[in-house]
Amino acid sequence: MNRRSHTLGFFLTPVVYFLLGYFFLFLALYPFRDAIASTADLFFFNKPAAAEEPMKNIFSAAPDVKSGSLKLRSIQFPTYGARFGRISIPSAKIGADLYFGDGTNQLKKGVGVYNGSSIPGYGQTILIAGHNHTFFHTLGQAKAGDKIQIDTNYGKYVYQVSRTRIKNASDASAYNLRATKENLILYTCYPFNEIGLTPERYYVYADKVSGPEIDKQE
Amino acid sequence: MSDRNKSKSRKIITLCLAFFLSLSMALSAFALAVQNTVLNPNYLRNQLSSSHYYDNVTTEAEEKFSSYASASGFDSDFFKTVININDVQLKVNESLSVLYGESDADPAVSDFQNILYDKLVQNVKDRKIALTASTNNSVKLLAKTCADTYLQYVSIPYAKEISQYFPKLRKILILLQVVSLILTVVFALLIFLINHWKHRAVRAYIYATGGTALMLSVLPILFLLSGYSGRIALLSRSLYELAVSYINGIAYLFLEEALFFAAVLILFIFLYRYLLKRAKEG
Repeated sequence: MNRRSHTLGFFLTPVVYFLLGYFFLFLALYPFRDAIASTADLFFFNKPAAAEEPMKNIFSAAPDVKSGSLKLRSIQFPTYGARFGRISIPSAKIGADLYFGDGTNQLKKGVGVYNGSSIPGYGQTILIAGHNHTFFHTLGQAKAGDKIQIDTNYGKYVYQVSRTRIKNASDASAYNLRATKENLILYTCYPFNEIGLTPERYYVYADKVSGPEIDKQE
Repeated sequence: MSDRNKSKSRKIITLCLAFFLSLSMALSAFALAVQNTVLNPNYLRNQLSSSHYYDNVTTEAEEKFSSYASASGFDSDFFKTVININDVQLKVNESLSVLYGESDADPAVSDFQNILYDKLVQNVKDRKIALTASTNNSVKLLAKTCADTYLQYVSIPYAKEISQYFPKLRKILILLQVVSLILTVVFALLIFLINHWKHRAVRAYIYATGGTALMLSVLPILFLLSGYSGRIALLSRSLYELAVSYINGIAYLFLEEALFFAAVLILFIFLYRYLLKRAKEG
């Protein structure tokens, strides 16, 4: 009996010590539980995130919706990096895929909507960037009155160029992202043929002519 | 107090002392593990190598430069020749010196900038493009932007900020280790002295080392099995793989320490059986 209880003790006592030790650890960390939980939320995702997700493509052809109103929930919103449309400016011979986000990968494959701005139909500023040596090389040929067409995965939009400007890259007055009227701004590095990185940007400003509005109240 | 009560009291005191012995050993092992990982530059150097950090950083910087190429009218392949992996390794190690307080200067990238500028100018000339003052400025700006990006990639993030905390952490850990080692010796001696039959003292040591091995192994095992390290919120491939390897390395070190205590436990079991046999014979 004594030997059996000793044998059992060899297994149980260390387990009791370990549980007690962790209990003390729990008590010591208990006052910091919120800070620990917040830190864990900050430093860890819900799933592994190392592998870069491939750029999604949610655009094949634009539905023939040129006016009216679209319900918010009926639209598939683009996630960052997704190709969700195509932009064309016939007068400047520009035709490029449109991505949501203007990061390295997007601007290699087309032009990108700055993700701090808006998307067509949302009634705000849409800020689109493209490289001067690739897709926006001929942006300087777009003049006031020219039409810009944007086909998206939820409708077709037309804008009209109102003016063009050359401004310094750090000049924040070049765009107003809080505008309450829908407007389109395209920009690229300037001069267009310059080799290297330039400190100036070429802006094309356009107003909405047609295209369905997204009903934000829905 | 009767002999039976004395024996009972001695048993309870021995069990309590064994518990505190297991705690002090676990604390000592914890302090040792942190000193050999977080505070050890060689540990980070090993992790940099095993997580292919230098290769990944080189690839990432090249990809970034490739985007600058398409933005600035250069062929994307042009930038594949400007980064040397040995130089990356050298610069990362300079940044590592900043992290561990051995140096306070960021890695120098002015040579990189000058060499790149010369290569860019040569490329412009080879393409028979006139190097006007404006073009020269744009090329200079490109070289500077690339050098800044390069510095960003070869620098260990927040190295200077973190380095301020390392001396304090080192002091705390040394103090913790010394105190826990003294307590370990004191508790072990007390257990040895209050037990006339030494096999009983060894039995308490078995309990304590078993408890320590469990304390050191359960959390790391749960952590490794949960796959939590794989969910670390880093989007840079180089930093992600380094962080995963770094954290897992710490967890494995705790497991190694637990294995050490398990080995000591086995030795104590043999010693216990020998002493028990002798006690019975006596």
